[in-house]
Amino acid sequence: MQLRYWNLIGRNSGLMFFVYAMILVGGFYYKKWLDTLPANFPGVLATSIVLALVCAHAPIRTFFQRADLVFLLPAEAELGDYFRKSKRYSFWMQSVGLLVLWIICAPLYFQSTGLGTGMFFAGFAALLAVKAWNINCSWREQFIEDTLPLRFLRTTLSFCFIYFVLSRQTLIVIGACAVIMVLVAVFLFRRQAADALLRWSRILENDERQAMQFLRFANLFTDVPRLKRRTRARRLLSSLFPVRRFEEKTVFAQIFIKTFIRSDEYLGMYMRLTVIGALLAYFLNIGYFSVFIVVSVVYLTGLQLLPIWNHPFPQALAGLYPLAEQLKRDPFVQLATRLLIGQSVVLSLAAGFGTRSFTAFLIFICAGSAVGLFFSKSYIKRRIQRAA
Amino acid sequence: MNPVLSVKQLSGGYSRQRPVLHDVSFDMNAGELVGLVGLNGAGKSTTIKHILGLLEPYSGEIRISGRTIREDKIGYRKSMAYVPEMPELYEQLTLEEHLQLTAMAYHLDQKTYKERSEQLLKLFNMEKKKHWFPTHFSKGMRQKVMIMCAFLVRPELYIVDEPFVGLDPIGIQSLLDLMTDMKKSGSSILMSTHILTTAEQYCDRFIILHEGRIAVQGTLEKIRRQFGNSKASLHEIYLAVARGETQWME
Repeated sequence: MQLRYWNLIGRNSGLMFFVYAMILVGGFYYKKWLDTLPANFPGVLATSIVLALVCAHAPIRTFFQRADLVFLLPAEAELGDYFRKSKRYSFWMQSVGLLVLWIICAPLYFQSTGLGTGMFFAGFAALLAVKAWNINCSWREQFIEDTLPLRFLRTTLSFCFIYFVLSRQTLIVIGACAVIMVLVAVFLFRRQAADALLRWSRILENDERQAMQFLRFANLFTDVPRLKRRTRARRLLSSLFPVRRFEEKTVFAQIFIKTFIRSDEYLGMYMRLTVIGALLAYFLNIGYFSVFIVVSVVYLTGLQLLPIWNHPFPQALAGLYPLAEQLKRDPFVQLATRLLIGQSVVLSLAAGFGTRSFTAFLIFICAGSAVGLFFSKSYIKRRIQRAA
Repeated sequence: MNPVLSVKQLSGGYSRQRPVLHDVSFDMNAGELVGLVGLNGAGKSTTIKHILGLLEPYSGEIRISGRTIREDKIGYRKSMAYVPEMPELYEQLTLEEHLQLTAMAYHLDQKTYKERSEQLLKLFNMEKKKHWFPTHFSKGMRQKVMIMCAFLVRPELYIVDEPFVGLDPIGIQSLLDLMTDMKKSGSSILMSTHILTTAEQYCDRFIILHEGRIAVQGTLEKIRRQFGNSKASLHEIYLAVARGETQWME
C-alpha cells in the first residue's frame, strides 16, 4: 500500500528533485550557520532537547482496524506476542528516524564539544536505550487513563539521561539516572498498568492517526481514497466568503473555498508554507537567488492545492448537480490562481525587504506570479482535465 | 404523453461478468408514488444508481420525461432529486450552506429558496441548527438534511432510498406528508423501503425485485389478485417471493 504511493510520489512530481536540492542547499547553509555561531552557544543543550523530544514521542503502531475492536477484543489475552512484535516494529522504525536526526545534529554537537567520532556511536547507543525505554513505557500508558503527567515525566527523564551522556557527566550521575528510569518503569508505569484494562479505542485512534500521517502526505501527490478528514468551523474567516450571488456559477466556487478554509489542513498548509517561505526569504538574504525560494514555495503550494479537486464531495449532492463540468473546473483554477499569486506577493515582499532592493522585489513578484499562473492555468488545468 | 420515468429492459451492475440486474422494465407516471421492494441484495440500490446515471447500463435504456442522460445530461439531472440510503454530507459545510448550494445548483431564485427552506427547516424542526456542521448531527438529522435538499428542488421525479431509518416519528410523518403534497402537485416518487406497512398505506404501486429481476409489479389489488388472496398483506406476499414460492406469478 505505502509502496504504491511512494512509487507514485517518486515518479509523478518534482518532489524528489526538490528534496535533493534542499539537502544540497540546506547542507551548505547549515555549514555556514555553524561557522557564524558564537563559541558559547549551548549546542549540547539544544541537541539534547531536540533528541529527547523525538525519543519521548513513542507511539506504538499496532495496525489495528476498526473491526478488530469487535473481532479481536475477545482474544486480547492471547495477543501478548503480537503486541511484543508491535513494540519491536515501532522501536526499529522510530530508531531510523532517530539516527537521521542524530546525523543532522552531530555537526552542531561536535562543533560545540570538539569530541571525536567515538562519541557518535556511544551517543547513538544511549539514544537507542532511551527510545527502547520510552516505547516500553508508552505501551504501559495504553492501559492508563491520565497519561499527561507520565508523558511529562518520560520526556524529562529522557532529556536528563541524554544530556548527561552527551555532556559526558561521570558514570555515577548517568548510572543514577538510569536506575531512576528503571525504577519509574517498574514501579510507576508497570504497577499502574498492571490492574488496568487495555484502552482499545485509544490504541485504534493512535494507529489511525499514524496511518493518516503518511496518507495525508501521499495525498499531496495523488488521491488517497481512504483518508479520513477533519473539519474546523473557522467562522470568522468563512464569514468573509458568504454566498454573494445566488448563481450556478458560484456553486463550486463556494464549495472549493469553504473546503480550502475549513477542511483538513489546506489552509494550515498554505499559511505554514507562506510563513516559512517568507522567513527563509527574509533571513537567508541571498540576494537575487531568493527568486528560487519564491518560485519553489509557490510550486510546492500549488502541489498541495491540487488535492482539493479530488476532495471527496458527497455524490448524492455534488455528483448529481445539474451543472456543466466547466462550472466546476473554472472556479477551481481561479481559486488556485488567486491563492498562488497572493502567496507570491507576500513572499516577494519578504524577500524584497531582505535584499532592500525594489528591483529585486519586482523580479521576485514577476517570477512568482509567472510560476503561479503557469501552475494553475496550465498544469492544474491539464491535470484535472485528464482526471475528468 | 411521455412517462416521467421509463426503464426499458435494463441489465446492469458493477461488473459485466456478473450483472446484478436482468431485464428490468417499468414506467412511472406523473403523480405516482411507487414502492421499490426487495431483500438486501435484490438490486434496489443498483436500480437506483442506474436511474441516477451513476452506473452505465449494459443493455436497455432509461428515460426521464423522454430523454436519456446521454442526450441531455444537465436536463436529465435537473429533473430529479435523490435521497440516498446513507446520508452523505459535506463535512466542511453548514446545514444552511447545503441548502443554498443545492438551490443554486438547481437554479432556484433567492426568493423561492427562502420560502421553501424556511418551510422545510420548520417542518423538520431544524431551524436552530442552520449553522451547525454535519459532524454534530445524528444519523436522523443527517437524513433530514438530505431530505430537505431534495424537497427544496421540487423536481419531476424524486428517488428516495430507504428514507425512514433513523428518523424520529415526527420526521417520518413530515416526510410522508411532504411526499403526499408533492404527489398532488404532480411529482413522481420512487421509494425503496423495507418498512412495508408504511409502504402499503402510501404507495400507489409496487415493484418487487428478487435476485435482480422484477418478480411482480402493479397495484396492491392487482398483486393480491395474482397471489390469489385478496386479504394478503404486502408483507405476506413479499415473504412468499423472498422464499421462492413463485408458482403463482406465471
